[in-house]
Formats: sequence, structure tokens, C-alpha cells
Amino acid sequence: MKMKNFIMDKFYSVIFMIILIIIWQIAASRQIINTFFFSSPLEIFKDLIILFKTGEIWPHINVTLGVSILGLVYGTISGVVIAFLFGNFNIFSKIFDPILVGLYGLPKLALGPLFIIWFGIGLKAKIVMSTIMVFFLVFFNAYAGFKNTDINLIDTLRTMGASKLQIIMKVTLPSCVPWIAASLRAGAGSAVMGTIVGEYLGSNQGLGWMVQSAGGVYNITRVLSCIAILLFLMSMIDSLLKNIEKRLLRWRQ
Amino acid sequence: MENKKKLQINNLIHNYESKDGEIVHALNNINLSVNDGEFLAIVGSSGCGKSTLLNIMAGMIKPTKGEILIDGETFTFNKHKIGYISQSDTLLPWRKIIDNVAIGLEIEGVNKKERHEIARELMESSGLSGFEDKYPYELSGGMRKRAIIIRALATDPEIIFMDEPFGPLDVFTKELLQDEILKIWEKRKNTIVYITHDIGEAITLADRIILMSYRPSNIKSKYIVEIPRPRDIKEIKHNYRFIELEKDIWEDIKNEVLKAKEEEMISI
Repeated sequence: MKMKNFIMDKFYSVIFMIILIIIWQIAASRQIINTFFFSSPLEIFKDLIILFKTGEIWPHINVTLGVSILGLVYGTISGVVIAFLFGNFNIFSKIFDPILVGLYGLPKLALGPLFIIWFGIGLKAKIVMSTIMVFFLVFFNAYAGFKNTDINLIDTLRTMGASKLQIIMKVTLPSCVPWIAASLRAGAGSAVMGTIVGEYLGSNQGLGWMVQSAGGVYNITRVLSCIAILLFLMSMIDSLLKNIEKRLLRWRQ
Repeated sequence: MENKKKLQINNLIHNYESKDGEIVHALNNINLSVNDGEFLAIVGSSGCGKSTLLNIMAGMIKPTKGEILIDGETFTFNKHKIGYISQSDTLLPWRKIIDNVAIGLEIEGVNKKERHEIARELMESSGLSGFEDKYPYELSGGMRKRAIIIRALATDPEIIFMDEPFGPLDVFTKELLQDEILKIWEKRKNTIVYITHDIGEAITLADRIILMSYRPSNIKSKYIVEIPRPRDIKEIKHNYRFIELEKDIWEDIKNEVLKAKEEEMISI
């Protein structure tokens, strides 16, 4: 039942994709487009089989996925914690509000080269990059959530003699969950983006690095193979997070 | 009076600053006591500060001056257990109904098994059994109100404060819930302070009614209801005493309403 719904849900977009790929393939085999620049679905498919058969791709997937997940986790935790400090202690928001808003407007990717210099071309720089990308998204959402906590609910618990900590645990935090959940899915995209860009800038492994080095030698097929893998990974992460979100927000209409 | 005084308000004054920076004299030297097990209704026109008074009594607002005593002691949330039911829907939307009803007990540190037992019993007695594992959005407005009422009862509070609890409900649901409140109170005899602008509702429910004057508010008059209990929500409306009281209180309140209207006109 569920599977059927899922398939029906994706039916039209899958059909569309298939048609697009067929057109692409026909255009490539009839030499309508230059396969040197655009490759072809068949070539990409062959390349993917080689990548998986030799197992060459796995370490790169592991690195990119691992770094992105770490970035997502660190970014989410730090975003929630700091939003919470802002929400509860005025002094924090007074000092840091303008600074954070300023930083938010800054394209974070521009900081990449600095991180590479500070943290080296290893994994650390990418984790930092990815974390920062996620942090801002989660922080602003969670902070909005804290600010929007229903004062009536807080008062209700206060009249019951609840301590400050009890009010935070039972009202403030749960009422932020929808806000945090909303930022998680967007955050996953940012986490991967941060990682990939980090890998572009300086590294010796990961899907971003693969794309970069294949692009450097005009191996368009390899570039597109990596992008196909990334697409697949992203949609897996997204549907996983969607499920988590659904479970967390059962209590809403 | 031989009755024990549960709640005492002494020389209460409350001023606050309005948005335009004007000082509003909301409450002017209020003295009031509520007996143990008494059902007191406070009636007044809108803007007379009755909600402010209740919020001060319930410890939500610090008064400018004056003291609030429960059993002769200064009221604090740590020392005294109160119930507070407002107009707004204050169930926690992310908690199942049973965990909403049990939250007061949870705050007190009662273990899960015990607090669920108490909550389940209360839910059964108010026709909510079967809804334990539902979330608030799955219940009707009346049912949510019921859950809020039994949530306040779950901890067996010394005083229950209610601020027009049935305000936003339709008439039929309102009367059903009034009936329920009557039954619960006649069984449990909690001390209740009940705010309403509905004179009929006040007479139906209360032992004693206090009428507030328009700003700066004071207690204008006091009425003792003296209609025997148990009361029937339908029949009481034909009771001679009910009709007489309703007329008296309405006459009394009319001037205050007119005064409020006048002031509104001027400020416009």
C-alpha cells in the first residue's frame, strides 16, 4: 500500500526523467550533440558499472557521506544549543545578534580557502565547512521557534509549579521541534554542498574531489557519473529525513 | 464566620503602564476573602480588570501593592498548589491527552504508572476514555476543555482559578461543561474562583458573587446566591431566587457598563 503510493507519487517525474534520458541518448548516438562535452547516458552507465565493480568509488562515497553527516549533526546541535542560549539569556542575543545576521549574509563558501589553510586538506576543513553551512540554517530556525513559544503554555506550567528547567524541557524545546525539523532537510542539502565545495578546494578524496579532478582532464562522463551518485545520495537522505520529520510531528494535523 | 479562610486578598492595588505610556489604575484597594470550599464568582463588564485580578490572585502578575495569602501564608507556586484554567487552549499539542492530563503530576515527580492511573480515572469520569492516546488536535473544542479541566483537578489543587473558561465555546457545549463543573465541585468541594461576564452562569455555579466596578476597579457589591444544591442546570433558570438575583445584578452592573461605554466614547 505504502509502496504503491510511493510509486504513484513519483510516477510522473520518473517518466519525465526516462524520456529526457532517451532523448539525450538518441541525440548522442546521432551525433546531434558533442559527446566530448555532453557524454551520453550509456557511457555514464558503463562508467558507473566500472566504478562500482572495481569498488573504486566506495571510499569516496564514504568520505563525502561521512563528512556531510557529521556536518549535519554538528551543525544541528550547535545551532539548537546557541539558539537556546540566545532565547534564554538576553545578553547573548544583545551581543551576537547583529554579528550573526551579518555573517548570515556572507556567502559562507567564500570562507573555504581560509578553512583549508587553517585546518589542512584533510577531513577537518570539510567538516567545519559543512557544519557552518548547516549551523546558520538551523540556528535561525530554532531561534524563531524559541521566540514563538506560546506564552500561555509557559504560564500554564508555571502555575503548576514547574521549574525553569521543566518548562524548557516540556514546553520550549518541544515547541521548537517543527522549526528544527523544517531546517533539517534544507540543512542536509547545505551539509553536502559544504562538503563538496570543501573537496573542490583542496583534498585528495571524496566525490567533490573526483568531480574536480575528472573535470580537470575533461572526463565529462566521470563528472556526470559522480553527479548521478550525488543525486541518488541526496534523494536517499531527503526521504530518510522526511520520514524522521513525519515521525517527530505526528501530533500535527 | 466560622468558615476557614482559604484565600485572602489584602489592600490590593495594581497600576500598569499602557502602550501610550499612560498609567492605568486597574485595581483600587481590593480586599477579599474566599472561604475553604467556596465557589466564588467574580462578575464585571469587560475592561473592569477582573482578569487582572484573577491573574494576580493566581500569581501570574505581581501586584503594585498588597498581599495574597493562602491559608494565611504568602502565596508562592512552591508552597501552594493551584489550578489555573484560562480561556485559551492550553493543552500541549505534542503530548497525548493522557500525558496532558497527567502533566501536573509529572511536574510533581509522581511516577508514570501512578500518574497515568489517576489521569485515566479522571478521563473516564468525564467521558474522555478511549482518547488517552489521541493528540489534542484530534479532539473537539469541548473535549479539549474537558481535558484542561481534569488536568487542573489531577493534582488536587487547593484553589482553582478559572477565567471565563467556556468563553469561546458554543452555548450547548458550554451548558454541558457547566453541568460537569457543578457535579465535580459538589463532589470534591475544591475552592474555586470563577471569572465570568455571564450573570446567569455565575448564579448557576457560585455560592457567592462579587461584582466589580469599572476602572479603577473595586468590589462594588456582593451577593449570596442561596440556591440549594445539588443544582440542575436547566431547572435553576426557573428558580425564583435565580430570576430575582439576575435582575438585581443586572441593574447593578448596568451603570458600570454605561460608564465604560461613556469612557470609550470619550477616548474615541
